[in-house]
Order: sequence, then C-alpha cells, then structure tokens
Amino acid sequence: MFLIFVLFYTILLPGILLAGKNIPDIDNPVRITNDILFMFPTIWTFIGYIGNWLAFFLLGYLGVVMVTTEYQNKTFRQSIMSGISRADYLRAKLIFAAGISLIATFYMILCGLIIGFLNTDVVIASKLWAHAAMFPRFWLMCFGYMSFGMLVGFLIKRTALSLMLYLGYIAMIEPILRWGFHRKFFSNESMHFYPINSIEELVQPPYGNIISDFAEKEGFSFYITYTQSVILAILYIGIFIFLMKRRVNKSDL
Amino acid sequence: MVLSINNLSKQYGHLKAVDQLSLTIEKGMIFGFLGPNGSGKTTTLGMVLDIIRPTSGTYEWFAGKYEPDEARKRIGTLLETPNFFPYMSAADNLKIIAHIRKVSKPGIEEHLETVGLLSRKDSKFKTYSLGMKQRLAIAAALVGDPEVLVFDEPTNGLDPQGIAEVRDIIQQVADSGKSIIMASHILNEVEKICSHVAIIKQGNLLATGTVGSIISDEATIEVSADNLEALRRVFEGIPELSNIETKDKLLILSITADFPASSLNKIAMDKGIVLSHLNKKSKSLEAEFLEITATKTN
Repeated sequence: MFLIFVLFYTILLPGILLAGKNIPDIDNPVRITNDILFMFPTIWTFIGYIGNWLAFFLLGYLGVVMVTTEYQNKTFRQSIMSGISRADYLRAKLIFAAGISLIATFYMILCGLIIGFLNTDVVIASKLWAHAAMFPRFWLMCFGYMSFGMLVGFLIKRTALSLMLYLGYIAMIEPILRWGFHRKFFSNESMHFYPINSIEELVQPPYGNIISDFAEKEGFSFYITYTQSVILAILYIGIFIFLMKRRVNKSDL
Repeated sequence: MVLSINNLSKQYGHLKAVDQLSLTIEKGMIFGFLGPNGSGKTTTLGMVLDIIRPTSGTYEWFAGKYEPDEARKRIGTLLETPNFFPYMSAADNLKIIAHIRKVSKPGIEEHLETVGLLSRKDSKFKTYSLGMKQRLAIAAALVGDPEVLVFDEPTNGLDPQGIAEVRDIIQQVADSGKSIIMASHILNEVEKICSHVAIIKQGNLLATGTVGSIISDEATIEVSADNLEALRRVFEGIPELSNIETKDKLLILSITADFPASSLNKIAMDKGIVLSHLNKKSKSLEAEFLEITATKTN
C-alpha cells in the first residue's frame, strides 16, 4: 500500500511537469513557450504547485490510512496492551509524518534541480535559488495535509469514511464555508484564514502574484501573504495535534 | 499483590457494563473470570489493560511498583482476538512487540516453538488459519517473559489437541510461578486449571473465591430403587437434603457435600428398601455456575 503511494508520487511529480512539454506554444498576443515550465526560476512555481496537489491527494491519504488501518486491524489496541504509552504512539506517528513530508520535499527539490538544469540554457545561481524560501513552506504544507488526514483518521477510525470526510472537507465543505457563508458576513481577508486554505496557500499556484495583483485592483484580496499562511498553518497544525492528543487519550480502543 | 481492582465501573450511555467491581489477585494465582456473554468480563479486562477508559473506580498493578505503561510491559495479553499486522510475518510481528516491551533478548523462535508455529514464522499473518492466529497471540503474550498473563478465551478456535496444548502451556507458565488471569466460557477447563474464580453477571461480581470453595458446599447423589415413591418418602425427612428431583427413574438428591453416601444406603436399608443405584457426584463448576448466574438476577 505504502509502496504504491511512493510510486505514484515519484512518477507523477516529474511526470506531470514533463507532460507540459506537450503544451503547444502560444503566439498571440504574446509569445509564450512552454519553456517557462522547465526553466529556473519559474520551474519552482510549477513543480511546487504540482506538489501541492499531489500532497493533498497522496500524502493526506497516507495520513488517514496510517491511522485508520491501526484501528481496523486493532494493532493500535495491541500496541497499547504490549506497553507503549498513548503519548509515545502518537508521537511516533507524527514523527513519521514529518519524515515523509521531508522526503517528499527533498524529492521535489531534486526533481526541480534536475529538470531545471537539463532545460535551462544558462543557469544563474540567483535564479536557481530564487524560490528557495518555498522549500520549508513545502515541507510545512505536506505536514499540514498529513496531520489533517491523521486527525480525521483518529476521529472517524474507519478508512473509507475517513477518506470521504478528508476529501469532502477539503474539496467541498471548507470552500462552501468560506465562499458561501463567511463571505456573506465578512467579505474581507478573513475568509482566507481557514485551516486547509492556509495550508494550501503555503505554495501558491504559478503566477499567483499576478492574479492577486489583478484582484487587488478590484478591491478584493485573493490570496494571503506567505507570512500569514505560515503563521496560520503552524497554528492550525498545532490545533490538529492538540485535538489528536485529546482524542487518543480519551478514547476506548 | 498482582492486581487490585477498586469499585471499577463502565457506563455506555444507559448500559452499565461493569458495576462497582472490586477484586484482588495475588501472585501465583490462576484466576478464572467466568460469566455469561455480555457480563462485562472483557470490558473489565480492557479497563485494567488501559484499552477502555473506566467511568469510575481505580485499579493498580503490582501494588503500584511500576508506572502504568511499565506495568503493561510486564503483562502478556490476549484479548478477544489476535491482533497483528496482516502484511508482516509472524516473526516480524513478534519483533515489534519485543521492541515495544524493550526486551533485549526476545527469544522469538523459542516462543514460536512453544506454540508450534516455528515452521511458519516467515509466513505473513494474513495467511494464517484461525487456530494459528490464536497460537501466535499466545506466543506474543509470552514475549518478554511477563510476570502476569491475561487471557480472554485462549482456546477459542482451537481443535481438541490445541486446547490440550494451551492447557499445558498455561499449566507450565503457572508452575513457573507466574500469575494468570483467564476469562473463559469453557467451565471444565477453568475447573481443571484455575485456582480461583470470579463469577460475573451483568457487570456485577456474584461470587469469588477458590474453585474448591465455590463448588464444595453441596454434592449431588443419584439413587434408585424399584419403588421410587417409597424411596423418596424415606429420604424426604433428611435435614441435610436441600432438594429431591426425579429424573429418568433416578432420584437426584442435592445434599451437603460431607454427608456420606453410605449413610443414605443404611437409611434406605433400615426402611426395607434396597438401593439399585447409588452415585455421588461433586457438583461441577458448571452446575454451580449456572445456578449462581440463574438465581442472582437484577
């Protein structure tokens, strides 16, 4: 199971990016080639964005499943009976999630470097590392998705239902809460301060800055700043972990 | 003292699964937990193993000598079902348990040998039959050489040979001075192995004590003669008799255990009746159990 995820991530991350080679060049109104996908510095924005989607699907899924299978196989129960403390059990899971996020981040960097080097005519160091600040944010984003997945797993305990809630919340519930309800009352920046949104916005889509400048001219902020998203993500991950801790300590196994 | 339980209770909404249970288990006891299905045996064991959170009450292992997590490392458990990682081999699963218990010399092969699974140690757990899973669970309970073993239906799913083997293992472990807590429905196994029992029904402790003390107050004597009615009239006057029943041309007498069968014979002879059948049976644990759980209902 785990191997399948690793395989998917390993192949899809560079794969989707390289599939961009098939995008035809646009000549009108401005000449845009698909080179931007593969050259420093812009490659980082693209590979980061693909990573964002993959982390949401694959890593979050992994976060859910690594918790729920231990409920379904009752191995969580057995481990506690064998003598591990509930705190140590949770700690081990969180460290694992942090480690996987780290590996995912390194792999993303590796892919970016390799593809970038192969496709950039002249590599200028400043351009290469222009987006380096994205790297730790990428790790935080991966960890954020995983810890949300883990929290859902601890709350629901059953694999299928947990996955549905994980996907459902991210894809539907939170967007509805934000765009549907929150905006009715507070049509301002605070609608972006929701947990999953903060995590998503750690790595913004390519040309996010252009889009947000455009939106701001209309008096509407589309994205939040990186500083805001980092602070919020850390805050929300902290809340997730707190809830996980409480759930693990209180529940019957 | 190995385990002391103090007014332990567990409430699930309206259902009181365990009601103010108090009990003490000393070192070296082989303690049987008996009760009908749903009586709260597994819930009680779950609470003292930190799987289920008590609603109220306390318990203490080893007179508080160890921290709870440390204490559990010294208890080998088999609760309800054998729980292992399906995609890992038996040996690997046992290694995980050894790691959790911080055991330096796990002796995994030795334990697998004891339960007869050494030849399948590298097979994945999901390929195991029910009997093999049960035996692996017993092996897992033995990892780390724990001072106490807690078994919930250890012979579940085993063939007669397996049941006998488990009985031997438990006896072996008990002989080495360890304490055993066993929940079981198989009363004659409990009778054979256990030194003490607790009888639980609907969350309440109905009786507790040595197996001997729970059984011995009454015995059953079967008698018969050609004229059952006359025989019945003869015995009816005996004060030590608590009950006479007629069954299949026999009279079943419930009488205090130390009343000698020969006295019955003499009494009958003196009244001119010759017995054709005389058989004294100590009351079995099963009969006692059924009686206790039938009469004491909320």
